[in-house]
Amino acid sequence: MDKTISMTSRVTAPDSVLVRELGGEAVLLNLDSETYFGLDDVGTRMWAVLTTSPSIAAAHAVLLKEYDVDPGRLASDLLTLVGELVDHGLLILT
Amino acid sequence: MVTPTGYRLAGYGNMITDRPRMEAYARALRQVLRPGGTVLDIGAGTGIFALLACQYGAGHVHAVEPNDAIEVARAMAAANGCAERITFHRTLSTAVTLPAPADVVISDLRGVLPLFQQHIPSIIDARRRLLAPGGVLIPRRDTLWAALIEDPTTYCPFAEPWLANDYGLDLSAGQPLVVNTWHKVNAKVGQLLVLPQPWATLDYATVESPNVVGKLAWTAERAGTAHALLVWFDTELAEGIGFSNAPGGPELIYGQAFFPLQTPVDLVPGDRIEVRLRADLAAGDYTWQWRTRVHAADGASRVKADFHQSTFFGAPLSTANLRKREASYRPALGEDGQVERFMLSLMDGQTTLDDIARRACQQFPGRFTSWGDAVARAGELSVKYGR
Repeated sequence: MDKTISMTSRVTAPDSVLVRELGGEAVLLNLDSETYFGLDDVGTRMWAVLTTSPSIAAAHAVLLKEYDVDPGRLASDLLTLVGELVDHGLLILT
Repeated sequence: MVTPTGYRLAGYGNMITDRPRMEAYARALRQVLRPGGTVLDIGAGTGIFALLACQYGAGHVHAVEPNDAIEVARAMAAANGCAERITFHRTLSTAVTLPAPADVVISDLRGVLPLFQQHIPSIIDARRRLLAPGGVLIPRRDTLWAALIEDPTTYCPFAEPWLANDYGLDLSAGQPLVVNTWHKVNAKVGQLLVLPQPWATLDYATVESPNVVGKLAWTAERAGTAHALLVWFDTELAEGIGFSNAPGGPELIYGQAFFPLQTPVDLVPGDRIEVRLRADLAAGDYTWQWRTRVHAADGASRVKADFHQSTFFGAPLSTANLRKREASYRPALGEDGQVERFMLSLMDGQTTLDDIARRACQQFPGRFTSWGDAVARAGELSVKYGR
């Protein structure tokens, strides 16, 4: 069942996804699709906060304290990243 | 499909001299083979099963082997008067078509464990396309077992060189990698800290996925230090015929797989150990994950150990190289790639290797130390990609 991504959504990494951090960046391996996906340092930090927060909004609050960024822009970036990761099977909405 | 790693002839010899294994396979083949039946030998190597099938009355045998060893198998077939009854296929079984399906498919494509490279996809493919209705698969079934093991000697290379050395150097960066790799061992039964538990059963008549996931749980009954999860398999080749790789049994070529724990864990009676072991076939080989949690006997809430390990974390890779595997990556050929592309483009069935090498030397001056160097490279490409 498709779910709409919103700031109240909670995301988790499926068991079939492995994350390896190297030098502040990360490479994700989706074992189901046998594909790799790279994240830069900011994406890696977003991933870490998103997968340990109760909602995207909560992750947004944490990241807003860490980065000098417009709140609206950060929200947009987070939703875009989550959408891309969900499309690749690297995150699931719970 | 990934071409299997080539075995040396001595390796095939070791398989043949592994008596418990060979005798079980020979008995199974003799038991299931009907006179005049057709046998498909997948991963035939030097053809020992194919030769035995002839000896036991097969009408015809198809021996499939991508490795150069198949040339030795041809000579052995001739030496044993079987050349007319064996068709050799120098390729992977997934590329083979047979004039009629086989009555028996015999194989041993395992490594230390049955979860090895393209073993299971190859068997699934053979069962669907190459096995006659009512035909027989050898092996029928493999059961994988696991237990925790106390083995400081085998564990030593996973810790000592990286955490302490005589040279005053910090080598600790290696330790997180090496504890995410597994190794073949031959363990003793006295080293097991808990009773073995079955982790998975691969019934080759029905298996549909090469991936396996399963949970294991124990309550420690004696004190000791857990160094690793030990995994092995038993097999049933045919009704009532098989062998076991369990510690304490005859030492077979397979051995057992030693999955080290992130750090050794001291267990006392009553500690509860949970392991989630998962194997996924990805990009031609298995990615293993072993998640270990140890709850202290003195309180359900105290966790003595909580590890998530995977072979994905064990390879010394760079971000740059991993990025090159991303689906969205836009690769550009380096000079080696350009040289090989140039050579391959000239392999049209008309141009000799000599010409290809000379033209490559002209196109890429300074790339080869000599014409012989260039012709050797072209020859390698010819063997790998030529028809």
